[in-house]
Amino acid sequence: MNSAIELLAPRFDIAWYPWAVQYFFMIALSYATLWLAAPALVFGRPRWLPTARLALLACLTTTLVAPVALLADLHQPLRFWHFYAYANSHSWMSVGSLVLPLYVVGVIVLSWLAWRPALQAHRQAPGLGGLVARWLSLGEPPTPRALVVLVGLGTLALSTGIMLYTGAEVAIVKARPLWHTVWLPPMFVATGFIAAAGLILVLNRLAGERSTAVNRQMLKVMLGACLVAGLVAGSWLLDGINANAGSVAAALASVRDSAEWRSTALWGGLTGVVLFGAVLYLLTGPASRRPTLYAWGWVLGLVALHVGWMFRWVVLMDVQTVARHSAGFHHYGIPAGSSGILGIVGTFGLWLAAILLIDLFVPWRQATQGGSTADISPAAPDHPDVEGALRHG
Amino acid sequence: MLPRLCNHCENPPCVPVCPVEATFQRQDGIVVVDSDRCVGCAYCVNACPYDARFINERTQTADKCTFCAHRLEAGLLPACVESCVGGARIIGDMRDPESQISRMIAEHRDALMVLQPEKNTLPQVFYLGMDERFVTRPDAEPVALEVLDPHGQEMGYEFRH
Ligand code: SF4
Ligand code: SF4
Repeated sequence: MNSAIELLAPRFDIAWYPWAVQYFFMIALSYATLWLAAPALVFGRPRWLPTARLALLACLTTTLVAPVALLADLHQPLRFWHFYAYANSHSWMSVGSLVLPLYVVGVIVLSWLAWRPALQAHRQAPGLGGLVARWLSLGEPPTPRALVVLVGLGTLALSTGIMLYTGAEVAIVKARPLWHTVWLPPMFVATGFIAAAGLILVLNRLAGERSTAVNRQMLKVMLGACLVAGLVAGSWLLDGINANAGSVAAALASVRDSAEWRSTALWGGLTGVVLFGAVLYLLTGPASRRPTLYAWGWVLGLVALHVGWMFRWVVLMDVQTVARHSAGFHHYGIPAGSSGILGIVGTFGLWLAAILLIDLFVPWRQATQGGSTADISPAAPDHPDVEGALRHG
Repeated sequence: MLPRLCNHCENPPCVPVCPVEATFQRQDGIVVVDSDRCVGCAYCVNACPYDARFINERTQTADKCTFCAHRLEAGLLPACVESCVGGARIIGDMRDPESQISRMIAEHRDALMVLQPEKNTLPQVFYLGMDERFVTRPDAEPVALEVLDPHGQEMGYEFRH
């Protein structure tokens, strides 16, 4: 090495705020829960109906909150209409701004169709609940099954557009080598499904459904998603382990040079392995102990949500602290205000409010695959035991 | 000291990502931002490999070095060129073969360097006599985490190579 040089590296602020993490997290939960609702709702598998009910609640609420977080990440949110006045087909963000509203409308219409028969059954309910049900159900005619399938298929198609654009938007950025890999978009999707299955496990417990069928289905989905995530991560690593530039090289350099990145990598790896092991244990445990084992599913659900959120935090926030043009890492402390903690808490608060509001006014537990009021069992309006045989305490 | 400014890349990665076409390359090659159209999504800030862009706190839109386009239009030199006492900065019309810049580029062709050439951005800011370790991201050890200016404002981090 020749003479030493001294560098004064300016501190560069991050450009995308934690709002971006919130958006990517919410929208991933949204598209993944849509696919988990689809077996019953769109493809007519009645065994999946209890899962679909929880999944649809999760899907609609995350779909409503995600665009709020996205808008908040703009420094000029009131100019959002520029996206439509000056669309640029070269930009994935612009493509996304066209797909997202269609997708949101699709999810809203699909939820409405699925909940409509139950709303109609509640038209005579006393008080505000009945009023809302009358108002929301828009008349008595039955909901054609074909319409549910049609809207469902359309929305599923749009959701693949969301998966594609959210992944590509980040992965095309050559300036940040850690992002610039084809393995990033599939990893977003895989971790999205891990988190979505986790969310349904948690909701299954919190909403008092405690369905064993739901637990089993979601644990299986989570196992599959963990496997896919492991494969994707492995391929990414093998793909680039011998390259001296690119995403893997940048990751290895970060892990080598920074204690924080070392602990992040360790934490991520450990959590993934522990989650996978625990899910496998629950699924393969003896049938006699299943109810006891499955009762702990919600804990794994929380771990899975943590995995989905942390992955997005590391990818979107931590990567922005890796200096690209000067040496080292920029320090980033999460600010307390709306571009930091307040934004994160606010998004989750808004989400909780959306769930509670829907729980209050919409008989989502009775969601069907279409049809008329008569399909809703009037005997047990609060606990429609369509899948009674599958439900345990 | 290595002055780093917008390279006004011939193939600027900051331009195609803009969702509202608020940033563009002018006929003369200068890359500018239309701050009335910019929505402040900061996509371009992330897409520039040179940290040349930032969100202007006052306007809440993307901002960067413009080669002082407003001064060029008035027939003046960019402020940094005009004020450099060593006369180290030279700007000119590269498309005019007779200009000083074109003659210098021809003369020093082999010694000229650009930053991060592997990113294929074709920078239009050339460095003559630069320490080669700056061409890519320097690999250096931090020695001081915060360096303050005389007013106590943080200027950045110090590294030693
Ligand atoms: S240096 Fe950065 S901001 Fe300037 S033209 Fe190149 S990519 Fe764009
Ligand atoms: S910050 Fe402004 S100029 Fe940059 S990509 Fe977004 S809209 Fe375009």
